[in-house]
Order: sequence, then structure tokens, then C-alpha cells
Amino acid sequence: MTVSKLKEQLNLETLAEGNDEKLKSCYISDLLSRVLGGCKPGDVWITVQTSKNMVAVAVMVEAGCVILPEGLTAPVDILETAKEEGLTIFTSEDTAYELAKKISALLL
Amino acid sequence: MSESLKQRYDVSAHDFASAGAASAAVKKTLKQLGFPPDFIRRTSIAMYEGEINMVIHGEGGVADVEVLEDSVIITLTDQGPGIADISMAMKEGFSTASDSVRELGFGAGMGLPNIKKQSDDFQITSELGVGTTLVITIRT
Repeated sequence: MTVSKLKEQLNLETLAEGNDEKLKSCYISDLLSRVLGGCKPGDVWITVQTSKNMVAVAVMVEAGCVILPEGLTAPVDILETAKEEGLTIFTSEDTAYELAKKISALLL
Repeated sequence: MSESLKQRYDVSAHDFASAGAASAAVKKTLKQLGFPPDFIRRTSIAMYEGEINMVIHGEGGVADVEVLEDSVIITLTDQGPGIADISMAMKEGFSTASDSVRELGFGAGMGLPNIKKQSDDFQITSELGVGTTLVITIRT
């Protein structure tokens, strides 16, 4: 599964287009301190954090992409930073739970 | 690489918008030098955690990075206030961060334990009223 295929399968809206990374698993947390310890390379990270630090953390842990649930969006400057870093950020009308169920079915 | 590469970065206090700039720069340097991905990831995470700590607690400071042939040594020196009880600070979940810091998603008391987890050698010294120094070594 890749970022572009995930977008297709889950009907995600792209907020920032980054690299078409290979996806391995999924991680959900809004506490950046937790994410730094727990999110693995290639994870789809579902979060409601939309600060610049979210992008920095996603890049540090090498998340495959980020999905903002429940139709959330992020400020333009943050999306620009994500693009520069090659990080894809999507938004979806689904909740984190619904997204995780769908991702689980696709990745397993 | 016959000689080590030394870099120094200033870390500003309470500047969350640019926090992580030093770690990002180090990550890019290590990538350019062709270090293994897992080593780069561990180095970046450990340094980012340290940098965030300097921004939250440490009144800013200096990050010295020495890149050797098969390791990197990161020395983070902040400007205070120092840690009263290092053994408590090393416990997962213990944090003295303010509510405003927690609202940004930090201050969960995971930083120092995570730095230790990512590193091969980790030294912490602190003096109240003076500051805290971390020396983090990560090997390939």
C-alpha cells in the first residue's frame, strides 16, 4: 500500500502533497511526546494536531503520511512546510476510529 | 571520514514555531553523508526531544553535534533552571511542563526516557539555577 493508493481507497482529500511513501501500519495519538516514541516509519498517523510541531514530529519519526480526521484542515503555512518536507497530509470526514478500521482492512 | 564534523546550533527559548530546526539540519547532514536510515532516525528523534526540552524548560541553549565515522555525539547545554531530581525526570510520565505546553501536545513526561531509548550512551548532569547538559551518543 502506498500513499497514493490509500488516497484512492479511502477517498481522502489532499491538503499537502508529499512523497508517495510505502505504508506499513497505522498510529493514532495527538500527544506529540507519545508519537515521538511510538509512531514507526511508514505509519499512517491519524491526529488532530495541526501545529508546525506536528509536521516536525511526522518528519522525525518518518510517518508515511498524516490524516486529519473529521474534516479538519491545517493552516496554509503548515501545509507549505509539509510540502517542503515531502510529507503528505490528508483530511477525511471519517473519525479516527472509522479511518483505523478501513486502514486495517487495507493493510492487513 | 578521517576527521569529525562539528556543528553548533542555537536553540531559542519558548520558540515552538522553529523548534526542531537544529534536528532537521542534522538529519539532512547525516542523509547527505550516507548514514543508515535507522541511525539517522534515532539521532533525529533523540535530538528533537532534547531540543524541545530546551525550548520548554531550558530557557534555550546550545546544541553541539559531532559526527564521527560510525557515531554521532550530541551535547545539549541549556541555560537553566536545572532539574531538581534527575531520577524523577527520567521516569516516564513525570513532567513539570505548563498547561500551555501540554496543549501543544508536549509535556507528557516522555522526552528524557525516549532520548535514552534512542541512544547508545546517555549522560545527564544538572545544577539548579545553572542548567542541564545532555550528552547523547548514537552509534551506527
